[in-house]
Amino acid sequence: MKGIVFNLLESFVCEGWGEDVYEEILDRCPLHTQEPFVGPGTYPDADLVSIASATAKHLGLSLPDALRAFGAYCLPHLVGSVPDLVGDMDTPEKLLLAVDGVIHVEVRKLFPKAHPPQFAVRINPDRTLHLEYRSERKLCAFLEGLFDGLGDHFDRDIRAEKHACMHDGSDHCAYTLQVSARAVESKAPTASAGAGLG
Amino acid sequence: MNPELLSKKLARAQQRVGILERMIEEKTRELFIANEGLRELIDYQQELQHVIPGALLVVERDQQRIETINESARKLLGVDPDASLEKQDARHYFPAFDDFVEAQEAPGASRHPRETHWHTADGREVPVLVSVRLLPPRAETPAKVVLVGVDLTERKRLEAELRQAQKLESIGQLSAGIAHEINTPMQFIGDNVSFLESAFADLLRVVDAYEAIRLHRGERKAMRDELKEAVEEADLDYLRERAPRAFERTVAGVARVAKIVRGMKVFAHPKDEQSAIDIQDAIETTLTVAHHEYRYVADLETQFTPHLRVVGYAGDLNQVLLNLVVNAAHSMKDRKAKGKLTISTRADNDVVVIAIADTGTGIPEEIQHRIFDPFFTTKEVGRGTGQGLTLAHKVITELHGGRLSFTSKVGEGTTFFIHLPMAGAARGAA
Ligand code: HEM
Ligand SMILES: Nc1ncnc2c1ncn2[C@@H]1O[C@H](COP(=O)(O)OP(=O)(O)O)[C@@H](O)[C@H]1O
Ligand SMILES: [Mg+2]
Repeated sequence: MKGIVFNLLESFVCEGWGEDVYEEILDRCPLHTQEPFVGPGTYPDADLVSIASATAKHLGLSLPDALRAFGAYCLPHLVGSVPDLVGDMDTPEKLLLAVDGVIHVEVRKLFPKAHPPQFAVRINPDRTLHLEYRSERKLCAFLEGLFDGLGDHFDRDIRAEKHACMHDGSDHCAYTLQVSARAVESKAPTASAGAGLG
Repeated sequence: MNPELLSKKLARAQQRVGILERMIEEKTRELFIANEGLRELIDYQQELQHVIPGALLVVERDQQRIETINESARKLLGVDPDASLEKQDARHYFPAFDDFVEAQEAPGASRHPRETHWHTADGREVPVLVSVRLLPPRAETPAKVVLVGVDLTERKRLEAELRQAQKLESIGQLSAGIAHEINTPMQFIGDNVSFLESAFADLLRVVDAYEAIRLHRGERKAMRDELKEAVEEADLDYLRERAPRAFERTVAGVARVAKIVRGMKVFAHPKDEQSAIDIQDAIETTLTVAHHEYRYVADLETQFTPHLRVVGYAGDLNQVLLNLVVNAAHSMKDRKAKGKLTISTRADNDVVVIAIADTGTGIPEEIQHRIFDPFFTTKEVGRGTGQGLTLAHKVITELHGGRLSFTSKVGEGTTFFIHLPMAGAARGAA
């Protein structure tokens, strides 16, 4: 897994619970990697799982719940890191349809040795999306967090209904995604602000 | 933040800077090596461009602007080594550019090179064989078309020479027959002229006798006797009966020889320009020249649809007809019974169809796919060199945009069909 994800995990913990919490978690983790993580580096997946598990434990969450929260946190940062690429993708659907063929393709150029997952996304006749996710990492909890993040980012409600899961022996996870306008409490209907990393 | 944490973070930050610096150095080195590789590739590619004998053009697909041109292309198109062609419209040199590109973009497009014409800087047309490849658009560059053209001028010249050689060859093969064809009328022209010569002498004697009487020269009785004898000798009744026929046959014989000679001339002096050709005329000329080849082996039947014309190369078409008639005659010579040569013409929409049917040996199925191959022959040396059908096929399809086909059954015979578009070959196909 690329260092950028490790760094996002670090800021996720630091921003939410403080720098000392992160240090504590890190101290408690047996890691393969001795040196600090840097964005372009590539590190064992096990290290990420290890930090994520320790974080979950520390926060009193299940690992899937922690990953999901982390996914939601990551999305705006990921989107904000490639403004040229996602500039004209102004709905969650457009972004999702472009993940496999455009975004992750570009990610592979930007980060050599990246192994982004595979997605197959198509529009159902009723305008919902059918999404299939394949990855040896089986990070569907993280993915569901990304859905949450997408909803927040575009100020929409995204309902994800799961039909199949790699953790139940399927070779992929399958979802039906329904995107709808966010009813109340939306402060700025067109807001997609707050997305950038910097 | 407590100092211990702070110094831990600072130490980590410093370590990170170190790692990143190393990474940058590493990347810089990789970039340098990659750049070297690229430069080498560019040098290599540029050398390659100029070393290949084909004329290379790289053209921007949508703007039709020439981007790259190699030395062969400059030479072919007759442009100065230092004139900048870059950014010029490719269609100026390659009128059918759009056509070729669209054909390549069609699904299942053939990758085979196609013939066309390029225009040189000074306005000449050059026949070229062009291969086309499309380069799809890239992130930073638009779609491009790579064209490699091979100059066909020399090949066309050799082909024309070969056609001419084949003509001379078949004229050579026909010459014995033609000599015979000319000899027969010459013989009776000779006989008739001798007859007329002596008749003329006899008549002169009669005339002289009358003249003597008219002028009262000499003894009257002797003059009368001389006249009587001259008239008897001349056998005027016989002359009256025979002379007109002798004249007629002489004139006919001369006409026949003249026709054969004219036919020979059409073959020997082919015009290299297209003209409107009367199909019946062309077939009759061919039959005149080939008369000796078929007269003893087959009866001729012709079924002409009158006034059929095509635009084409008269000399070459005659040659094709001759080749087919001679083949038919050969195949019937190889059978015992006298055969039948049937030549018919008809119009089928805008196409003239000529059928040449024989009742000869037929073509065995196992060699049917080879008869158009160069130098394929089943005949002994001196009778065939296997170039007749090769040439016929080339002339009909490439020069006239037509079709040459046949049906054949062993023991029954063969029919060759020539399909010729009346308007001639479309520009560019020739
Ligand atoms: C918009 C900008 C995005 C960027 C720059 C980005 C970048 C990345 C990067 C760098 C990784 C790590 C790959 C590795 O280390 O091998 C990753 C993983 C991943 N991405 Fe994206 N991504 C983006 C959007 C999305 C979206 C919209 C989705 C799905 C809704 C998505 C789903 C995932 C998942 C599930 C992983 C985890 C790896 C795995 O499952 O194997 N990403 N992405
Ligand atoms: N009308 C025909 N009947 C039978 N065989 C034919 C006929 N026309 C062509 N062929 C066969 O095709 C071969 C090739 O013909 P061609 O190219 O004219 O060469 P050539 O006559 O010099 O052999 C002949 O040798 C003969 O075997
Ligand atoms: Mg022949």
